[in-house]
Amino acid sequence: MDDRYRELLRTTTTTSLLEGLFNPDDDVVWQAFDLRYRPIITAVARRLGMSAADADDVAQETLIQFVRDYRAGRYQRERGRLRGWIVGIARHRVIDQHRSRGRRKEVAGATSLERIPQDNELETLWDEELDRSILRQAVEELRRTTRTSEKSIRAFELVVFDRRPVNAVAEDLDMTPHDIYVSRSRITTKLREIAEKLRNLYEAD
Amino acid sequence: MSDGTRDNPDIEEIAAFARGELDDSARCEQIENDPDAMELVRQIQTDDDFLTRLAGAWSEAPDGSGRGAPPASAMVPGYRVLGELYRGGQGTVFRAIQERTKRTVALKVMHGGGAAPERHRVRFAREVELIASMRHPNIVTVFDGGEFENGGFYIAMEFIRGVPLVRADMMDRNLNSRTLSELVRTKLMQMAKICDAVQYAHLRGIIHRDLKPGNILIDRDGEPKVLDFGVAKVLGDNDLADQTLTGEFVGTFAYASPEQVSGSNDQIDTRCDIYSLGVVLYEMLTGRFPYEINGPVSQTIQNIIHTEPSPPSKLIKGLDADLDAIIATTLAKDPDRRYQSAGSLAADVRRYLAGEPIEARRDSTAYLLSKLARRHRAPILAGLALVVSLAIVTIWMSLLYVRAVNAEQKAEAGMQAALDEADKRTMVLEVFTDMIEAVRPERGESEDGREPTVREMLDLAAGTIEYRAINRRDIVAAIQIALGRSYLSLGLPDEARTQAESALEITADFEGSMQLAEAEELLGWLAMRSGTLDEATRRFEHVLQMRETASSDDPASVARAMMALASVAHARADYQEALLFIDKGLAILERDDIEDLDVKVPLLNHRVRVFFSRPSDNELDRQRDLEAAEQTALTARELCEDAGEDLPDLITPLNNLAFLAQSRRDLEEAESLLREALRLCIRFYPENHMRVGGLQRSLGVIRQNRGSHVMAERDLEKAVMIFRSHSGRKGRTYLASTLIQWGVSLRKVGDYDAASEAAMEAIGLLRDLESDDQYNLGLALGLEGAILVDNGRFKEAIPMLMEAHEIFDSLASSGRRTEVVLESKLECIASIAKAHEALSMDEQATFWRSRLDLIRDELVNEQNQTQP
Repeated sequence: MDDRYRELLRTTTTTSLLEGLFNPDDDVVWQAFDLRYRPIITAVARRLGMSAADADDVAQETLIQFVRDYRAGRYQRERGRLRGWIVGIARHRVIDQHRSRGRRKEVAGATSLERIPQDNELETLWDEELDRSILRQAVEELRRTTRTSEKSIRAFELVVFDRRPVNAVAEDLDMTPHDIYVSRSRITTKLREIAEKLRNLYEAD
Repeated sequence: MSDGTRDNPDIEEIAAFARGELDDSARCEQIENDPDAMELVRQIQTDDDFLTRLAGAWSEAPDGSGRGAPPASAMVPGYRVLGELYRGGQGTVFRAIQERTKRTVALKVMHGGGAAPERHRVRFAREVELIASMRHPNIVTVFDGGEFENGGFYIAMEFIRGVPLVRADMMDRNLNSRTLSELVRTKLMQMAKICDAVQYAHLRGIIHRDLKPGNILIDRDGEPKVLDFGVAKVLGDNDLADQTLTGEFVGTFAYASPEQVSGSNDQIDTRCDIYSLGVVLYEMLTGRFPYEINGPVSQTIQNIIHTEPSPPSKLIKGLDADLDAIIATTLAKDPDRRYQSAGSLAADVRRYLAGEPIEARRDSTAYLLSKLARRHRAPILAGLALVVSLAIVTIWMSLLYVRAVNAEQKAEAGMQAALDEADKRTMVLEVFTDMIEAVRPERGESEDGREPTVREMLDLAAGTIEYRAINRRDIVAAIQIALGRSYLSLGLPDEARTQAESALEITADFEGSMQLAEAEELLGWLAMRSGTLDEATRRFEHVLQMRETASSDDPASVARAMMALASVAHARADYQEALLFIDKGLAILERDDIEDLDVKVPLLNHRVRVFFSRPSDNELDRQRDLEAAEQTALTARELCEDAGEDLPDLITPLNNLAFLAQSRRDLEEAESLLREALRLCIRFYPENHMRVGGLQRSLGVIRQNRGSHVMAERDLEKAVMIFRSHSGRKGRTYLASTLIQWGVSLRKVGDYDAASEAAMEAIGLLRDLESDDQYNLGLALGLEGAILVDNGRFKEAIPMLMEAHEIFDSLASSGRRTEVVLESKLECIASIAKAHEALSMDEQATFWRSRLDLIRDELVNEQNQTQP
C-alpha cells in the first residue's frame, strides 16, 4: 500500500476526508476513506450471517452509494452522525442482498432464516466492529512506527496473540518474565494511546 | 518495616494474584498489604482487560467470524430445566438438574439478544473459571458456565433455598417480639458475614460490582449467601451505563458507588463493593436509602456523587454514633476515606457488636489530625536551612501548653505565671483558629473560587494582629514570631524579617524574656540564610545566654540554641565545634531527663549530618564516622519508634540509615528503609512536596541498582511528576537529575522513545539553568547518545557522546567524585567505540577501544584505593 494513504489514514480526521471526497478526482482521499470504513462495513455484514462474498458486495455498494449521496449533498452533519448515515445505507444494501439470496434459496428449495436488521442493532454491531478495527490498526501502527525494541514486540505478540505462557516465551527469547511484563505493560499503554488517537480521528465527524 | 521473613513477591506471583490464580494465601495477603505490588496488580488487571479485547479483535479475520443470527431460544445442553425461579433485567434464573451429576442447580441464563461479541466470550470463559474457583460458606458456589448455541450465556450455581435479603428484612419487621437492639444485632452479624464473603472474593481479585440485597440470599438457617460475583463484569463494563439508559438498571443503580456512576471505569476497584455494602447496611438498618433515588436518573447520579447521607441515628432512635461512624466511613464519597477492605469493615462491625471501640471513629480523628499535620506540621530543621511551615502553629501551641502545665506545677512561679501562660495560649490559639478557619471553603474561599494560599492566610493574620485588642506585648510578639517562622518556611525571608524585627522591637526592653530570645533566634536563622554567619553567631550566642540565665528554666530551648550554634559552626565547616554544641545540647536534655522529641531528634539528625559531611584523611577515620553516624541515627529512630505512633521526625533517621545501608551496599535494607520513610512522608506532607519527590527518587535509584526496573521506572516517573510541579530553580535542578535517572530506567525497559524524551528534556533544563552541574549534563548527553546507538543512529550519536566524554574527562582530571565519573566515562567511551565500529570507522574504533582499557585500569585502581 502506498504510504500516502497510510499517512492520510493515520492523521486525517474523517471530517477532512469527507471534504476531500467532494473532489471526484481525489483518489487518495477516496482510498483513505475506503480503507477506514470498508473493513467495518464488511465485518458488520458478516456478523449478520452473510457469506464473505455477499459481505464484500454490501460493503462495495454501501461505499459507492455513500459517496454518491454525499456528493449530491444528502449528508448533513447536523442531522446525525456519520455512523447513522452509513448504517442506514448499509441496511438497505443488506435487505437487497437478502432479497436476492432469498430468491436464490427459494430456487434451491431452502428456507431463508435471515432477519432484517434494525438500525439500532446495526449501530451496536458497528460500534463493536469499529472498536476491533481500531485495535487492529493500532497494532499495525505500533509495529510500523515505534522504536520499542523488536524483541519486546515479539514477546508481546507471542503472549497476547498466541497466548503462549510467559515462562516459555521468556526462555525462547532469552528474557526474564519480569522483562516481559514490563514490555507488556508499556506496549499496552502505547497501544491505548494509539487507539485513542485513532478513535478521535473517527469520531471527529 | 518489612517482616523480613519472606522476600518480595515476584512479578509472576503478582500477575497470578491479579488474575485470582494465586493459591498461596500468605502470599496473597503479603501482596495485598504492599501498595507497590497492588499498583502492579491494578495495572495488570487494566492491561488484561484491554488485551483481552485486543486479542479478540486480532484473532478474528477482518471480515468477521461468519456466525449467523441466533434462533429465538434454546435450552442449555447438559441441563434439564424444572421451572423458572426469577426473571430480571439481566436474565432468567431456572431451577434445573445438572444431568451429569444429578444435582439441583440454579441456572442463570442471560438473554443473548444478538450475536455474542467475541470479547464477551473470551472474558466470560475466564471469569467463570475464576468465579467457580471460589469456595466460601457465604458465597453461592458456581459450578459451571458458558455459552450455548443461541449466543446466550449461562451460569450454573448452587441452588439455595432462601429469600433475598430485602424480603428477609421485611419478614423480620413483622416479628415484633424482638427488640430493636436484637434486630440490629442480627443484621450486623449478617453484614459481618457478607463482608467476609466479599473479602474472600477480593483477595482473589474478584470484584462483585453489583452488590445489592437482591444478590444476597438468606438461607433457611439465616446465613447470608452472596451470589453473582463478577457477573457484572462478565456482562461488560459498559452495562451499568447502558442499562441505566434503558431504565432497567435503576433498581441496582441505587447501590452503585460514586466512581461507578461517574463512569470512571479505570478507578473502579474493590472499594466500590465496600460502598455498595454501605448502602445495603444503611437500608438494612433504616429501611431507607442514604439519599433520594426515585427522581430522574441524572438527579440520582448527582445524589450518589454529592449528597451526604443523614446519620442513621437521626432516622431511627436507638442507633448510636458508632454505627453512624461505621456507615459514614463505608459510604465515604472518596474511596481513600472508606474502609480499605471488606475485612476491616467486618472487623469494625464485630468490634461494635463486642462493645469495643471501633476503628472508624479513631480513624476519623486520626484522619483529621493527620490532615492537620500535613498542613501544619513540618520538621524544624532540614539541612542548614530552617524549615518551618505554617505548621509551627501546632508545635507552638503544644509548647505553650506544656509550659502552662510546667508553670502550674512550679510552686515558686505561683498561680499568676500559670494564668499568664494559659492566657497567652488562648489568645494565640484564637488568632490561629481564625486563620485556619479561613481556609475552610465556606468561609475562606476567595472571590474567584479558588482556595486561599498559605501565603494569603499568613498575610491575613499578620494584617489583623494590630486590629486585635491585644494589649499584651508578649502575646503580640509570640504571634509575630510564629508568623515569621511560617513566612520563612514559605521561602519569604523578607516578610519573616519584618515580623521578627517587630517582635524584637516590642520585647527589647525585656532582656531575658522568652519572646526576645525567640525573636533573636529567628533573626539569627535569617542571618545564616543570607550567609552573614558572624551576625548569626552573635545572635545565637545572645539567645543561649538569655535562655541559660532565664528564671523559668527551660532546658529544651537551651538545647535548641545549642543546635542553632552547631548549625553555624557546620556552615563554617568547623565540624569539631558543631559536634561539641550538639553533644552539649544532648547532654542538657539528658541531664534533665527530657524526652522532647521536637528538639532531641533534630539534634541527633544534625549529628548524623555532621558525620556525613566531615571529610576524613583516611579510610579508617571515614569508617569510624560512618559508624558513629549509624549509632546516632539508630538512637533517633528508636526514640521516634518508642513514641508508639508514626512521627514525621522519623523520616530523616530512616533516610539517613538508608544512605548508610546503601554505602554498605546493603541495597535490600536501604530499599525497605526508604519505603518506610516514603510512607511516612506521604502521610505527613502534601503529595507533591519536594521531600516526597526526593524520597521517591532515592527509592527509584535503589531499585534501579537492585535491577527492579519496573518499580524503579514507576518511582522515578512519580518523582519526575512531583518535581515538575516545582518551578523554582531547585525544583528544576532536581527535575533534571531525576529525568536522567528515569531515562536510564526507561531505556532499561526498552522504551527508547520515552527515554530519549526524558534525556532531551534534562539536557534542555540543564542548559537553561546554566547549571554548573556538569556531571548531570554529561550523564544526560551520554544517555541520549547511548539511545541513539541503540537505535542505529550512530552519526547523530557521536557528537553527543563526544560532548559527554569531554565533560567527564575534565571532571575526572579535577578529581571530583572520581569513581562515579570514571564509570560514566567508561560507559560513554564504550558507546563511542561501538558507534565508530558500526560506521566502519576502524581507526577511530581502535583508538577508542584502547582508551576503554585504559579507563578500566584507572577505575580498578580507584576502587582499590577506596575499598581497602
